[in-house]
Amino acid sequence: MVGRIRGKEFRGPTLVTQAALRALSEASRVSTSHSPQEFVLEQSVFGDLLVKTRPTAILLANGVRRVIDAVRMGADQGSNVPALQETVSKTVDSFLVEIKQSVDKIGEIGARRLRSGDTVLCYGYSTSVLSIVQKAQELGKNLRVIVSESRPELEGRLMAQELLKLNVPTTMIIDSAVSYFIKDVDRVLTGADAVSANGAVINKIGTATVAAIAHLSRVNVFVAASVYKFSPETILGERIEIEELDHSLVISRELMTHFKGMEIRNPAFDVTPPDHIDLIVTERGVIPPQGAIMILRQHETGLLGTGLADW
Amino acid sequence: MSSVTLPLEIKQITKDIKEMRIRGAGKLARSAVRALMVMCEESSATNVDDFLGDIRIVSRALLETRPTAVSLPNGIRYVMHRVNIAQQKTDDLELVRLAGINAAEEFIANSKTAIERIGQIGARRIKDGDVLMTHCNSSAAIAVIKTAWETGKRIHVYVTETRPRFQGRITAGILLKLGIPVTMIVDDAARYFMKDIDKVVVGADAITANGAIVNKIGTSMIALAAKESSVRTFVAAETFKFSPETMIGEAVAIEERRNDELISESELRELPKLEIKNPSFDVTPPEYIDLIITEKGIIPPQGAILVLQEIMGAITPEELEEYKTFTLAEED
Repeated sequence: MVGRIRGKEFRGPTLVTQAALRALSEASRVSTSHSPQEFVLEQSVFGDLLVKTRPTAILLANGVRRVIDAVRMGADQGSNVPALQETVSKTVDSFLVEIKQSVDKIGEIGARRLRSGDTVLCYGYSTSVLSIVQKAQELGKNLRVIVSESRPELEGRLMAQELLKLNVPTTMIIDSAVSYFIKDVDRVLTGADAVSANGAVINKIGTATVAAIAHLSRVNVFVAASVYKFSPETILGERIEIEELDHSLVISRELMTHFKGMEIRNPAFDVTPPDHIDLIVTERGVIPPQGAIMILRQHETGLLGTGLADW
Repeated sequence: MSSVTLPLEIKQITKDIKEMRIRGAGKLARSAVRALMVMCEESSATNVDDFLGDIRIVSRALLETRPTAVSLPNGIRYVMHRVNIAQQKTDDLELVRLAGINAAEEFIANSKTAIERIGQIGARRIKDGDVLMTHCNSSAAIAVIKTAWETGKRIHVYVTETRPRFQGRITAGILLKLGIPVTMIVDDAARYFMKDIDKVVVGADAITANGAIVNKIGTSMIALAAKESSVRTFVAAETFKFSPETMIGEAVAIEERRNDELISESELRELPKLEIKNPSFDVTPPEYIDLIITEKGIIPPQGAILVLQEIMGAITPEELEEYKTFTLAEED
């Protein structure tokens, strides 16, 4: 499972988190730990491993943190292994339900910000963005969507497939063509892998360029992000790590033999500054990016939890 | 009209251009001008009017070969502009003929050395230790980078892969062969790395009268990211890339290429309703460009109009009809 998550079989942080948390729950179910302490250690190690496969996916980190906190608290209160297994399963299930509910709520709130006949540019794959578009369709808003393919992993194709399933007229372009078409666009919609304390959004590489050109062209940029994407560590001055993906995604290994000595850089994400974002749609409502700190503070007990220092 | 049958060499050139055996903006323009020169030399006309008729037949035949090039009509225009000036001044056929031949020779010589001169001029603007970024595959931009490297400037070049046809790989291959350190990135990562960059150096497919650059799709976003990060953007382009039609308000039309460059035919069959848009070029506004390096020297983008007037003369809508360039298209 770790391999499949790392192998980017799952697109978009929500799908990744759902798969990873199910894996954590499964690992707990089949655990052969003899003592609560051993179980806590086992779950922490596996949880840590899952988080490290996708260090930028804050939703995953927040989900795993929730589970580990619950297990630790249970162990401290004297629960035995079967009771702790139950705790994991319940915590995972409730987190997954919350994710589902937050995606639905984001869809509902975000759809209100779209006007009938809007042309929307989508960048990268995002479950929350799909939810917004779906809701807007249900409200009869007749959107048109331009999807940028999203090199190097081409998540845009998966996005286009899902949009076509919703019967939304969809146009596919290469990422470099975004500025060419920006004047036809009314709104840019993207998801987020992480939102930092200052309201900067970490998302698929290229998002920052799209937001910059949209901002310059006076096209609104909406980011759809659950409050669980907000990164509490950034309050403490931590920077969000940006992974570099496999170089063969840029040039295949065979082809690379013709480019001896060439360096390849392949960052998975970039940082969009808050000034290029008009608003963030969360399940708690629409906030300006500068309001990220408010979400993080509101959430302090839930999100920061007890174990922040351990992460 | 004195001769109906065109000289053999002209027929051959026309055929080779049409069948894409002659490729690349520079060669295309030089071959067309060469054909005009042959006509100037071999026309059996006995007066200036017949002579003009003869070369017009050739220029029309050439213009019809490849309706998408900028350089080819510019080459023809360069010669015709000078022939027209000559025939206004004199009725002497031999003088007009000579003006045509001279203009053609001048154009060919200038075009042949243009890249080298752009390299020399542009390299002076590159500093030792500079980190450069380039997009697509431009011989003029490569000339600047190559000359800078050969004059001992220790540079490092970030090359964007350039979707959908990956011309960045050709550029990377050329630079690596010269021994220049190269880093390849996806186009989307241009802004991510912009803070590490000192100068962006790109080519141009066409330059408009207001100094906007028509170049490979994605150029305008790289230039924007550069502007936003206070990184200079240099455009390297021969003067025959300047588009005279834009002086009279004509917009440069941009070709859209085949859908299967984005998604293979088989994958596309599974998404029957998906629309695909695949423009080859975009327009970078002059505000994002710091300077244009031509073989005649460095100009600010706003100086494009001066280059156009100097080379092509003032153009009238009637002349435009005659030397019309069509859609800007990428060569296969």
